[in-house]
Amino acid sequence: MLNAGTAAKLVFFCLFMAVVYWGMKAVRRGVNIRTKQLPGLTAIDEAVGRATELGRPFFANIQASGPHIEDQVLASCELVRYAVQSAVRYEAPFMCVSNSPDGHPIFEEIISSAYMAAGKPELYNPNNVRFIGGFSSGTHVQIMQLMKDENIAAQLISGNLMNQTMFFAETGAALGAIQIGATKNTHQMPFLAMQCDYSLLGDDLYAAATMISRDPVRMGCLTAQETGKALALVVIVVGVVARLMGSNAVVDILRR
Amino acid sequence: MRKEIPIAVSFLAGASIVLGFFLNVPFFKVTASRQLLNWAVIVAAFALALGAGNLTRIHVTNAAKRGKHWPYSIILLVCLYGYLGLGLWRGASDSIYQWWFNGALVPGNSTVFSLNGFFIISAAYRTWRLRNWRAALLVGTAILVVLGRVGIGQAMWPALGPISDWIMTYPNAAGMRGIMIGAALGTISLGLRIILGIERGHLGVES
Amino acid sequence: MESKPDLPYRLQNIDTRIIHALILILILLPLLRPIGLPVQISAGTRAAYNAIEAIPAGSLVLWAYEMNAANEPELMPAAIAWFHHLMRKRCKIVAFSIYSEEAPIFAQKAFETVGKEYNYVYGEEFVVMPFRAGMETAVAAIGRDIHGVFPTDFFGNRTDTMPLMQEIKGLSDFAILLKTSGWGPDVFVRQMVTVYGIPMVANCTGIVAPGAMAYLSAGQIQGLVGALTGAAEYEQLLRRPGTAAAMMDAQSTTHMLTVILVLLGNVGFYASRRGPKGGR
Repeated sequence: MLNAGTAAKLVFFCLFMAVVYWGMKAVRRGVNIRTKQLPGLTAIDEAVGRATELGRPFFANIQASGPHIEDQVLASCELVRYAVQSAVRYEAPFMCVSNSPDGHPIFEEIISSAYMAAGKPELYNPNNVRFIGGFSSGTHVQIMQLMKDENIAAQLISGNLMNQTMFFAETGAALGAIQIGATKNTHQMPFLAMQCDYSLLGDDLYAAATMISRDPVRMGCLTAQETGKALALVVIVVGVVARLMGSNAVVDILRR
Repeated sequence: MRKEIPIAVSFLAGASIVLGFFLNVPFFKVTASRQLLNWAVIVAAFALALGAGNLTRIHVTNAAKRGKHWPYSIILLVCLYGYLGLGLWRGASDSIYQWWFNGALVPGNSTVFSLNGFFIISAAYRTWRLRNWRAALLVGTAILVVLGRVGIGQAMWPALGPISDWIMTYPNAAGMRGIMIGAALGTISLGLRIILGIERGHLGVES
Repeated sequence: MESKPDLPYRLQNIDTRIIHALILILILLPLLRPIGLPVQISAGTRAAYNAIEAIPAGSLVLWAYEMNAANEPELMPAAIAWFHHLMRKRCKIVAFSIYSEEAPIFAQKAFETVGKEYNYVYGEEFVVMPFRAGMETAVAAIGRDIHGVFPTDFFGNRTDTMPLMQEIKGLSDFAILLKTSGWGPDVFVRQMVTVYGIPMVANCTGIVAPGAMAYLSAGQIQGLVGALTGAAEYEQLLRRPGTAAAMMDAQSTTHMLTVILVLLGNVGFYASRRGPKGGR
């Protein structure tokens, strides 16, 4: 019935689902789940504030690594929504650039809806939501030029970041922009940590989207996410101890 | 219906793939997941056309309105459609097509990519400051790896190679793995939210 | 009149243009006059060499050839070394790409360069597939049904009539999966290694290599050739010096420059904190 080598994964998956369900129920019952503050998230308001003060754009730069929708681009949607809602409130100039052909219409929809919902449709400029496509270095230069032309005040670099991270972060730094970086790609984290004022690294990117909404169902998922980490930690510790004692039992169970 | 249909499609597609991964049932394992994956490849190819369409709209408008850097918009459109036409007419293995590829795209992209090296060194110089003991630990480790990975460092002190290898294999890999486990759980959580229709941000509406 | 900045300040604020000029000089000089510094073989590269060496002669090899115009200078030397290693053993290679549209052109270029030396026949011992969009989904699709995803090769020839493709029933027919790209091995580990148990060896850019180490030490990949350094090490193991070895001196000089600049910056930083004027 089960595919070979998937039993342990299925057990973990079911446990995860159970914790999501429990978390959702708990939040709906009114249990207050305490979450840590994510400086990278609160920094979005600070960055919008700076853009408002200087009258220069907040630049949401959402990158994908291929011509299809990706989890990190999806997770970035909520960050863009949060940033644009804040920008509309303070009437700060706002720009969004993406190289994701699938993500671009989503960002257009999110940004235009934010202006409509705030009753300021006249401030929405479709040319400020741009698709600058391509996944090769050549097209990154176009974005760097745009950043320079617009003299951006703040930048959110997010998504499935690859070699372009340094190009955008260095350009932003040269323009004196306040920068927030978000990705789960381990290979780009050192650059974001080095160049950005704030960062949302690894699972923080996914947690941020949930924490913006405080929606009970999403908070349940966040609880499951954190419980899963604790469970992984327990399995790692037990596995290491077992291995040191000469037993391969944990590895064998996980391979089943 | 604008929301319900995409949510239903997401649920059916996502659940089929998940079931196909776990269950040894021919319908899920072979028919549904294989077909869905093949369709996904085709849909992703359409996204390329969508991107080209968007690029055309923006640059035709910019060129027509004599906007900022408009001559570059014309160059971009000529290159985009000229090269597409050449590829369709002569094929990707054609010598003229390859000549343009090897003569324009490869050196252009390699040049821009190489800027990374310049940026990384100047950024390291600006930011690697021994402000506290944690920064000192980070900078010290970085210097050991930077020197240990190349001949000059290994010539200065032969132990640097093995030290750098050890840092990369143990402390580095352990840290990376911790981040990856956390991120993977985040991805599962996001995937579940999308499959179950809880996450609707990608439909352009607030969840 | 504005006073001239003091030495500690200048040490911390060297003009970026000067730094970039120094980098350029330190790259060009060793390329023009090579120093020939030896390179120690890292564990990851040795493991990669051993994994490829261990497959039987004439085996089927699946190669995710994800090279693009940007990372070609960094990845091509290792790819060329792999071609030599595989062709010496007369392995049959199927190259594909799901990340990079231009990758098939590079695969074909490398095949034409190295294949001649070993009299390789296209379609019988090597085939290059066209780019397929979809990334992780495409990798999963290839795992489930390679013939369905690639009914034709890069040149439009039907694959079902090719002798090489007729030998393949599924992913388990391949002795090893190779990956050349500027990205980590994660997608292939998830969709091919974990699902089908196929051994994998990766070659990636220097930026990605630290992250890929986690997969190597966990045993999810059997070897890792990281960037030009890894390629130079591989060339050394293969006893066939190539372009990577020539470029290693330039890496040495620029790495040394990085260390010197960092030290200068920190000297300036501490001097400014201890100096009479205090921190600036």
